[in-house]
Amino acid sequence: MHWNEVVCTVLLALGCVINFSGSYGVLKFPDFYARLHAAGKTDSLAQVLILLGLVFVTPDVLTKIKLMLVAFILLIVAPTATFAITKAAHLDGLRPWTRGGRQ
Amino acid sequence: MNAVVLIDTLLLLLVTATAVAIVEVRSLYASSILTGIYSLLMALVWVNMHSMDVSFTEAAVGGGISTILLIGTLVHVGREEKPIKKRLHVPALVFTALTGAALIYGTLDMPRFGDPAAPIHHYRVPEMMAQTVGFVNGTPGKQKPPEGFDLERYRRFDGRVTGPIPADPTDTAWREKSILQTEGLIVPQVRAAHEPHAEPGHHLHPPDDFNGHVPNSVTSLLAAYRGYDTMFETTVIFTAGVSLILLLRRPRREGYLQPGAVMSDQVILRVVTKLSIPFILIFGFYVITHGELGPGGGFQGGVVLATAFILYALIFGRAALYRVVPPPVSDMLTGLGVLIYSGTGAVCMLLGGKFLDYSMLNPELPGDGESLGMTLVEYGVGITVSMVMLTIFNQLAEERST
Amino acid sequence: MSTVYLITAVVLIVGAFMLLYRALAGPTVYDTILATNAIGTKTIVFVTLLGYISGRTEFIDMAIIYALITFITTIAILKYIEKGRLD
Repeated sequence: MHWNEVVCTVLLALGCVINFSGSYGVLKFPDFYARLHAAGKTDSLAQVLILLGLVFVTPDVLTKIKLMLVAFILLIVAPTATFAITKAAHLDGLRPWTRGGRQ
Repeated sequence: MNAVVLIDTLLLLLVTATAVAIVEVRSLYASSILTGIYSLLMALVWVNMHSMDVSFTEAAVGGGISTILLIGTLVHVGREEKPIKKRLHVPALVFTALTGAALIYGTLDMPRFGDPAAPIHHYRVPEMMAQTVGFVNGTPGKQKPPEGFDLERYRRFDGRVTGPIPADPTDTAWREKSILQTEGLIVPQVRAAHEPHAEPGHHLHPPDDFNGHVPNSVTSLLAAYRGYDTMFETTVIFTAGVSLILLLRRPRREGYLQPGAVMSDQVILRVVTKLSIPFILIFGFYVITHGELGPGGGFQGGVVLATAFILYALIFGRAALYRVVPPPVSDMLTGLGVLIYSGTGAVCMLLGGKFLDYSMLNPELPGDGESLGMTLVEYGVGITVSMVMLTIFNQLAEERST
Repeated sequence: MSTVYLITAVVLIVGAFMLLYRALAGPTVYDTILATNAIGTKTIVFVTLLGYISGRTEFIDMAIIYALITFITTIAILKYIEKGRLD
């Protein structure tokens, strides 16, 4: 394997692990805010890692730029969507879960 | 297992799960959101089959605008489905089962997935795909067939692969390679050597020409080969928009300009929206203009343009949208799109060709003329589609405030 | 290399199944929205990966449109939840 394929594989593997852990967290965590934490953080990071990994194996410059563009859009748009969801839930009066059960 | 088949199976499982969920879920609201997911997943299935234009449309229309419009409908009808008595309706069950059985029976005749001998691979489509792509200058008439091209053999070829199946199943071009080995140079090349017409002005378009001088064969089919179809599709959309305006729009004084609810109190949303709207607009125009080179076209680009305006209305309120695109302007633009389309056709007629014979726009370089004509037509479609979508959104929103 | 892409794609689909469960079972509407949004972001990368699996990199255009459309849909849903109207 050439070095760039190695880098790509490592980044893709990292992306996979983070992606899976995020989905698993959304499935398992006890309340909305914890699930939001799992989804919101892993989503941006994992997808951007995968896209960056693909940049390393792309020969074509235009395609590289497009990949970076997608990553950039994701980095702006995904946290904004997460923020909007959080704010809506907060305004709606959803309270975080505590160990003693819902207050 | 082949990669394509594996991904297809998993995706279709996911799609089926989503479809069952849409039917089962009680809250109309959740099922509208799930419809959006369903569309995105279906778009992925189509991407997997390499039909990019269909996928593009599905993502833009199904995943984007129709989800928004469904939610706009929920504003009027409420969030919960009416409870119904759950009991077994035997005739309905029998009828559904019979219909399903008939449909499944019908699929037995279809070629298996990815079958190289399927009719689509050797009936007319190879000709369309093997058009004189990029043929923009040079002498009128067709490209010369390449060296070693056996026309008779190509015409007799039934599309069956007799050569060896290659070891690497992910090789998407194996069919062409295999045929190349056994049959010689026939498939990926131009089925050329049409007898030119004697009649002046028509020698550029022999009977079997699909006007395929632009690289994206889908656009070339939609805008040139089936140009009338597409024109009347645009007209249908235009008619829908006009009917909506006639039926639903109230006179100006009855709360027509009521300020909507705004979300601009949230700084992050406001800033990101302002950042992304120019980008979405540019991308919409790119999709329209680039339709002849890659996936995309007027319908998809128009929908993307409409979503930019809708995003603006969502964040800054409908009153702000009306300051940007007042309803009279959007009404006028709705008609202008159809006018551009049919006007292009009329201009071709005035220049001495047939209706929508784009090569008349530039007789010396017919390929250029076709490119120009198709771009104009795509812009017409895009303008009409985006403005009609905007009108639907506005009318849905207006209903509430009156 | 194409095996790596394939494994990544399969992991993404498995994640989408988990999220779909959460979208259906989620006790609040916000769980549904969250899961839907996450599936949307996964499809963006998925399209790109499909392009690399089949060797056609122009699939990235699709990824851009997916990113924009998922965002707009999420905002529309949230506005409906927050204000009860769309305009």
